[in-house]
Amino acid sequence: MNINHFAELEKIMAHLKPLSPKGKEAAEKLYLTSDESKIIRRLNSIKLARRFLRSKKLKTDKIKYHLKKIPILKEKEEYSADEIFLFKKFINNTAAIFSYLGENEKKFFGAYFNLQDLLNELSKDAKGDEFYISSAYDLELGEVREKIAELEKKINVELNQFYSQIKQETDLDFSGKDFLIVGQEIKQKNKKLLYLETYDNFSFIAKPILNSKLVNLNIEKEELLKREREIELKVLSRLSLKIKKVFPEILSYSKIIEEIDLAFAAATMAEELGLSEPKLGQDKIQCEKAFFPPLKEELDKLNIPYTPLSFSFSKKINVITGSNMGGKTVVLKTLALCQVLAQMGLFVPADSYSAPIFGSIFSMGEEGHIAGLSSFGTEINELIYALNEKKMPKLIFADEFAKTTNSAQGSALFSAIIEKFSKQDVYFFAATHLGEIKGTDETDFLSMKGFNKEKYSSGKNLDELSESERLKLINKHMDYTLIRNAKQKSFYDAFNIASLLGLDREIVDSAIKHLKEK
Amino acid sequence: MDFGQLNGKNIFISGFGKNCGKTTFLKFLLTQIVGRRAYFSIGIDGEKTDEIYSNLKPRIKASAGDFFLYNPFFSSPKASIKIINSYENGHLVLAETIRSGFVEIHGPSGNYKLEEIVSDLRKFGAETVIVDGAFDRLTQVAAVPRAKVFYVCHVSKENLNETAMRISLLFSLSKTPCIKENISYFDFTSSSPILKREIFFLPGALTFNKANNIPKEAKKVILEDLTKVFVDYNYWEALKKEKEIYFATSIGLTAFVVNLYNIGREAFEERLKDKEILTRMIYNPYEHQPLRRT
Repeated sequence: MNINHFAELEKIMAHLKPLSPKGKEAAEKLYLTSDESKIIRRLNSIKLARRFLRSKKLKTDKIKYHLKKIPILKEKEEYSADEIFLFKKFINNTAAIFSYLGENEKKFFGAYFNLQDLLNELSKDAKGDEFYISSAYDLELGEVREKIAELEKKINVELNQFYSQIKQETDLDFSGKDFLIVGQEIKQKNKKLLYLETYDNFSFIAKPILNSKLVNLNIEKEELLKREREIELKVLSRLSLKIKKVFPEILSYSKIIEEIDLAFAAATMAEELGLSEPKLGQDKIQCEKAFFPPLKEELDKLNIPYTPLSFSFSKKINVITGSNMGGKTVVLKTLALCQVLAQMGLFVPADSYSAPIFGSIFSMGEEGHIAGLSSFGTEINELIYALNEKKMPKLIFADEFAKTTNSAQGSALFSAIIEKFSKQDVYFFAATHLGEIKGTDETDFLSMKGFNKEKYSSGKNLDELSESERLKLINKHMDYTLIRNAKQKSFYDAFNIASLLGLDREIVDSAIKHLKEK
Repeated sequence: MDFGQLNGKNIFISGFGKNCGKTTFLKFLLTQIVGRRAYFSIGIDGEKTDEIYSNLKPRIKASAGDFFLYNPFFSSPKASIKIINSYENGHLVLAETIRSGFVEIHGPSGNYKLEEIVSDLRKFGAETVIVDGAFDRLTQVAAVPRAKVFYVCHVSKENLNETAMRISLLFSLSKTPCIKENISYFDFTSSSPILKREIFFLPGALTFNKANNIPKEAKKVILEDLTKVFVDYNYWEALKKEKEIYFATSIGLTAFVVNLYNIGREAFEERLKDKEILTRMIYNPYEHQPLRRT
């Protein structure tokens, strides 16, 4: 199974919410890496952003406001007015974001703004993000616009006279309307002033026919508008050239903004979920109060306490046993999620987490069948894939490996895998119910403390309990603490759990009888 | 109708059927509304033609100071403009008119952007905002805060009965009361129906199927708003006789704009289920005077 899928990464990544389009794109493309410098840089950026957002809330809000306004830019030879607007919007908001950062952040991200000249050039008669092809860009543009304004005044005077004439001669008041719907009687009225089209069987659409004076004034205006457009294009061309000259710098700002956006989004996520900075490059995996957010959220809703994972894994091979519903899988998922997040350069769900940087990470489990293969077939396929991977060290999670095959053969296979992995630089974490597994010097046998039979009283009327009440009852009697054992420990709590979950008592009693007979 | 009362409001124009004359009515409203106006449609490309008046989609003459939204990939405004903002990766541009001229309007493709754009327009100084909604999509109204809604219909012999029934239903819905404030124990953000103390809250659409499943013990039924009702007039009236029905949110249906085609006013009015509708009806404002179509 894909490691991200096993770690339920998607659920935690839903909390990572960059605000700019480039930041969003970068978040979607975040991947697991073994490149230590990349990981360290991202972790440092998040650390810096978190310190900033904790101490400068108002400035953080302002940065977030401007990040939302950052647009996507494209490189072209010539830009239209709406495209130049996007450049101005980008530069204006970038300048604002950089200005709110402190000296440490500026230095880290390289956030120094050097495009003030271009910003001024794009800001003629336009404040903030706005863009206008102002007359200030070209002397002739101003002259042409003045002429258009004068001509429009003339046209309006003439139009008012024209509409008055129509009103007088036809009784039709257009008052700003392009047309009117009129009855058959219109045919008797002045045909020189109106153009008629049939609307339905009973009426016409009447439109005014402009007189020659108005037509000529409009032709004159069209000529001026054409000239205005030509000059505007000239201005746009000049501005396009200026943008083109500094495009590499704009591109570098875009990358800086992307990094800032991602750092602030990751820091915000860390604050929301209580994540902390992982310590990578260590020999062994150690965690303090690590948790699996999807499960914690669910338990919080049900008001059930969550037991975090605190453990120092001193050996590379770790075989975990425990009761059904005892939390074995959650241990694996917690470690997988912490490691994946850490190698994506993100903070992890733990008070502290330290681990090596792995060259490759895998998981094997029953979910995600490959077409045409059984559960066991899929697992073996995944195992072969993991064995063939050359990037070391390797981290492999196996949840209930070989549980669908004969238990004696399953245990033997398991023991052989442990033997093989012990000779390589492989960290192997396996949760299993299989017994009689042979370990190596590199193997630790761990277990969940499990179900407390002494405390559990079966006298309760289970039929009356709701599903969440049953879960609470299991939780009450289950100890999710991970402990180290001298040898593999087996658990026999399945009947208690099944009974707690509401399985028919008769079946449970009969099963106990069958076991005793054996 | 006193159109002056619309100054400063959010106005939403919806309609029954394609090319029913929504944009033409928007143009009429622009002759009536003063102050700084803003207008846009729903959808990036919009409808291409207005079949009623056999024109290409009506162009709007933007006056100096007006705000409008356009798609630079589809049209280039003839007005002189200042670009104020852009949405949807630059596919939608918000412009302020510097010098009047003809423009083609477009708008956001999803309801989620509507509220943001209306809020932006107010921030930039627009006093009256007019949305030319997509036809048969009254649900978009809910995304425009406190909108005055106009419902435009093109009525011909072919759709006479259907349109009269639709208008009758909408009128009946618009008269449905809103819940009183003291019924505050419902979580109106819930997506599942809730029955409490004989009051049934049904979120989302009221379809025939959902209406049939309203619990018998429910005496009062609360629906989200009138845009979520998808049953016909007869069914709605029958339901009203059976249950007390309320809306959680009020949507003000200001007027029906009726554009008659080969149909006389009397013939149309005869089909309406409630004559009170006439108090909220505007006949084609482009008709020079009431036409006799008999």
